[in-house]
Amino acid sequence: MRPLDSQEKITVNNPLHITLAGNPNSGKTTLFNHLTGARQHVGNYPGVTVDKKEGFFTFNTNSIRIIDLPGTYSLTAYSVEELVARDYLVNEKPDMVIDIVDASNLERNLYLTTQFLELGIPLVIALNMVDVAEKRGIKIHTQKLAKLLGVPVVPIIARSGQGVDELFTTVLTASGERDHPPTLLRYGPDIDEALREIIPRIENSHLLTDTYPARWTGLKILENDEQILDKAQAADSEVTRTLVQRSETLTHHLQTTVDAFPEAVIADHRYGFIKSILRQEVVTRTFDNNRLYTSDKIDKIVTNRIIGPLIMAAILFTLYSFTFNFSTFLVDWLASLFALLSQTVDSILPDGPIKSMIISGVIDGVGGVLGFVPIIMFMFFGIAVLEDSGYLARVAFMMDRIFHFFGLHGSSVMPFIVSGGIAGGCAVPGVMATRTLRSPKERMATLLTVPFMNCGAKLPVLTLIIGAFFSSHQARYMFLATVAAWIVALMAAKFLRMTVLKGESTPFVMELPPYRFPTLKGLFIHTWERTWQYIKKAGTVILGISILLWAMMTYPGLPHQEAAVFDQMRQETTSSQSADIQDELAKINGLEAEAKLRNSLAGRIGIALEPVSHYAGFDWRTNIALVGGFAAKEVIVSTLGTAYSLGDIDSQNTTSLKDRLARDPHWNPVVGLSVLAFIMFYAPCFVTIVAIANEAGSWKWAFFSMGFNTVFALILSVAIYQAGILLGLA
Amino acid sequence: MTKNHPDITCQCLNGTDSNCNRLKVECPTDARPLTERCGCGKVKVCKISGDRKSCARMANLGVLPGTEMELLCPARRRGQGRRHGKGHRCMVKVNGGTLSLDQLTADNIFVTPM
Repeated sequence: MRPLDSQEKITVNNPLHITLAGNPNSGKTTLFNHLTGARQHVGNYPGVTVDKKEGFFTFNTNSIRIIDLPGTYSLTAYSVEELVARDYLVNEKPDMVIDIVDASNLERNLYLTTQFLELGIPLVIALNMVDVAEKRGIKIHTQKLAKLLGVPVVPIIARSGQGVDELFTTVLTASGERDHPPTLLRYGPDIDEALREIIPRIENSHLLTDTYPARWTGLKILENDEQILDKAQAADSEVTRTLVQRSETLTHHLQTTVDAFPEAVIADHRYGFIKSILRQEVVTRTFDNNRLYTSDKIDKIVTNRIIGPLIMAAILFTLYSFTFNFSTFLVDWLASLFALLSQTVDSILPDGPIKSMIISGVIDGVGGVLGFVPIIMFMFFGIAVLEDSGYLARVAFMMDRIFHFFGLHGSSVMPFIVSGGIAGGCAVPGVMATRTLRSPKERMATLLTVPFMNCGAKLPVLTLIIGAFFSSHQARYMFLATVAAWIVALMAAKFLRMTVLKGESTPFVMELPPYRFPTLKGLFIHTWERTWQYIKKAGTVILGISILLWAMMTYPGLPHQEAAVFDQMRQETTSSQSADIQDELAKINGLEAEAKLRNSLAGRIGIALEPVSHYAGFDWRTNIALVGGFAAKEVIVSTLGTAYSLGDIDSQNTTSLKDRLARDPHWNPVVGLSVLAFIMFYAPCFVTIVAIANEAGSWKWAFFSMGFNTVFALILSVAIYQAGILLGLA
Repeated sequence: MTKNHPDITCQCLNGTDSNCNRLKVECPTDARPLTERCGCGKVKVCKISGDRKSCARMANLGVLPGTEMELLCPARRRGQGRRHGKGHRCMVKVNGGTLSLDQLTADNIFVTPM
């Protein structure tokens, strides 16, 4: 079994189309990775595989196209994942569906299996984690289970690949069989009677019969499935009306007799069906069924009200230390690499706009962003460990009470941490991490507030300003900045949930996966996939915008007359007998850079903004830097360097700029604090904006984020500056 | 019954198993919402209230009247008033899996101690 290269993928005609389906955390993605070697996320966080994942491989000369469906507990229409899975199975009609069933949690997992059987799709069951089940004293008689369910069952261990060859041998054999009639379960006399009445009506009117089995459509109508009802309504409104009437009669009857809705009765009978199968010597247990497993025992400690938060704080601190301590040498190495690249280009190319664009636009812009790759990589590795081990779900459990108060969910904690909740993250993957949230309003509130966190790009700017004005308490101010980011983000979330995202909290049920040792392969794939997303952004969108911003800060150049004045000053200095001729020339070059910047489009914007920004204490130079910060926050440092006539400033080495700001008459601790607040909370960088637009599915929210954050940051900065003036601190 | 499994003698399938009628479970007077249960231990679900979607979601997860579950991490501790559990999630073990339920959901699950 081996993955196919891209050429083979093109040449292979009609590969066997196989789909992996199953509950979240049942091991689908682990099996998918084992089969394809694809760069695919493997996690323990419930519902992490939201998108469809595809891979190709060969097995015994058969080429196979495999799809990894999102993990679902059922085939209802209550979540996006369920709809995606159901639509794919019905519309794409795979040759075979491999239902991954967690052997250690058979009853829950077989619930989805019963729905596959009802739908009549070609099915093979992969009984995964049989080793874990055996350790728990659970022995499953697969032959008996296969016989009772009427589909092949193959025991496997996806982590090690044990049994996978047998699984695919079975899949290939079973895929030759073309007849897969739906299984007809009984749902009690009331529902069965209703089904008997409505199925002929569906068949006679051919209502959705080209897509779904008539009995399945009938069942979904009784279950009040919104998607199927809409489709049926669109196909034949008159027939649908009579079916809905029958469904309402049944609902009323069940409500008055058993105080339950039809879907609850149907679910009860499905579980009854599963229980009746398992009772027939399919499962034998060595230990007491009610014993607590190691995972439950760990939970009793790590989710304890007192010890739990302490353990969580220790683990998160370890993650933070790991990320920053171990990534430093790579960050330094990358910085040296880009510096070397700049020097090489500088020495090879003649002076002119092309050279300026390559160095200032391409290398500095992309290099500045790629410089954070090691930090991002180490952080994602740490988060992958927490996620794959199952601990992150417990963090969400513990944080839920606090987040709930602010109109969010416990699951929001991961996007916040990734975005810089522990200073140094990045809002782009943070925004993407909101996909794990299932409720739309809480997700949107998280999406819009994670950019308030102190991402890695803000750190050099914070270090610069804190170092310039609050150097005696640098660590304390950095800590306060992190705390302030959390407070503002949570308060903003509360505000959004009370205004534009108003509404009741969505009920949120989450399955906590058992604790597992993560596989190294899974961790690496997980880490690389997210890091690669970040690198891709740097190579595409960031490159384009960096060049655009370079152009804005370069053109139009100085008028000839002004440029001539600087040339003359240089000539005079060179011809003079002054001892510090180099310092004089550097000073002139700095003044020229400042004049160029002032005359550029960005400079003009900065000057135009001054009438408003002066209320917050920002002059035109600061304004240009803040406009540049829209490209990436670390650009603020280099732009301030240019604006203050210091030539090119390395964001990692800001001593000269720090001293210059500390001495500048326009700057003082109050202005420093005001600028600090503005930088922390104003519009996210454009890459984050693009990510927000993608995740929210609309540019409306991306523009809202820019406007809301900037207005909020400006109000805060004006308040700080004006209060400082009133108190005589400025 | 289909030809897929002609030898299944599932009582549920022919509607004679009393378990199949467990939705009729009567709620005794000591039944309380899950959020009000203090301390860990086994409980039995006797009623699920709330809107139709929430009921269906819980049913899909196997939380139905008659289901036995183990409260691993209650919303409030013994000796604490109702307000202490406010906003807390609780953790239950049901059908072999561990579920984290928010207060809104847990408030709608009425249980009796076992």
